[in-house]
Amino acid sequence: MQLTKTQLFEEMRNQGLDEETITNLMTDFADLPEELSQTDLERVDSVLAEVQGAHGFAAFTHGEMADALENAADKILDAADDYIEESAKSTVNHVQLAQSMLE
Amino acid sequence: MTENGNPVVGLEAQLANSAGAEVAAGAGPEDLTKVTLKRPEDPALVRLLENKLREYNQRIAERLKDDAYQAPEEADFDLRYRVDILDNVLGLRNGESISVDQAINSVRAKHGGVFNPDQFNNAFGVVRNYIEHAGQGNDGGTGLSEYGSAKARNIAEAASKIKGAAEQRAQERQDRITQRKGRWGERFAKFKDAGKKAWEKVGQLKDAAGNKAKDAVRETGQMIVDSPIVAKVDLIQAGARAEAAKLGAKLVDTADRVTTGVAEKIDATGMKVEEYKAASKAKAAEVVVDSLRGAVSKVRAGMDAVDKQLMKIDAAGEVAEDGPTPIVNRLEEKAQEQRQKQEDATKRERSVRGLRGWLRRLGA
Repeated sequence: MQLTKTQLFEEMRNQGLDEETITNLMTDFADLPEELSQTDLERVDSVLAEVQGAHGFAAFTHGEMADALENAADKILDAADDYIEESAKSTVNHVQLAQSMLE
Repeated sequence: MTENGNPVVGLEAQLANSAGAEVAAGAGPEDLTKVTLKRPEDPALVRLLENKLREYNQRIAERLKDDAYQAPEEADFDLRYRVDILDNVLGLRNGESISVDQAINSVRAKHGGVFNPDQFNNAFGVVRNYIEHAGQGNDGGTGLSEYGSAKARNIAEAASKIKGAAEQRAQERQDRITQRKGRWGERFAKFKDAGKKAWEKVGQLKDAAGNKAKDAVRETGQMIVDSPIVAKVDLIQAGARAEAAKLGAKLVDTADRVTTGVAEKIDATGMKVEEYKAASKAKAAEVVVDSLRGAVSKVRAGMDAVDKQLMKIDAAGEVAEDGPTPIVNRLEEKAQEQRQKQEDATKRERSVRGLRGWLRRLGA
């Protein structure tokens, strides 16, 4: 079956690809003829493989950043919990010392 | 090498009158006119089915290579039917399905109206088994070797569970942070209140001790001087304030170290993104990496902003009432943005993967 560029871009939409990526792929495929040969299709697949890899890398990187930010929030809350605990102990010790002198 | 698609044995009889009568083996009567096939949701199974389709196409090519002049009616219709049915199913989108009638019409159209019910019966059964049971009901054949093995099924199931578990973990972590933040606020308010009351009581005792000392001085007619006990208690209170300031500074220092650690990690991530960008050739890939680069810079700038709003300590050495909340809010907000972007990128990756699968099915 001979595939056309129009069909290729239609299928991009069918597969739920966002318009921004489609527009950029149009730039990559601007010099391709309407009727796609086997060589053209190999090139299309090679570009798509790169784009797929880039989205995969982006997903991984965003995930890593989200993890780092959430871990930081957790660690700060740990430190804030420790702060209350140590402050409470310190307050109790000082108050008891003061009271023992006054009573 | 053959495969028998047991579940649709008896389809031939139904095909003859095009209305349902019989039987899936061992499963009691089944109206096959109502049987529909859908594209599997499990990406691992879809990939294996795509491989299977390629394998079938290669088998056909091999046979034609051996005897390029074989007449179509002598060709293995079973195999060709499987290719057609599987190709149709893999080309379906979410919510779409293909019925037995549609599959028959499709193979008829492809083969110039020639139709072999026996071979269609087997082909449909084999493909159905692959889709619904990963080929477990087929006798013989090459099967879905990876998915068919218990180990591979376990891996596929585990992968699916891991994905679900990862999403659940992210949500749970988010909820936990939100809850911890709320609980910290309550604990801190309680601690502040209890501390205030305890020192008020100390203040009352101190006043009483001071007054007692003054009375004693009046009675003796001596010069009024501060009570030595009160002076010592004042020193204890000053020590308590110093200790509180020290603990507050320690908290701020820890928060600073944590946020600096994140900033360094983001810097390292930025370097990796630059390296990835340098290796990108396609415009569409470059744009993706550029957008990622923008996101990394934004998070990095966000960390600088977080550093500027580190917890405040007042002149008395006390941590502000909202404590770590503004910083945690900021970190949470940034984390949520990244989670959303992660999800978007995953969807796009899946779309491109689907597009490539579609191209492969077309023989590209």
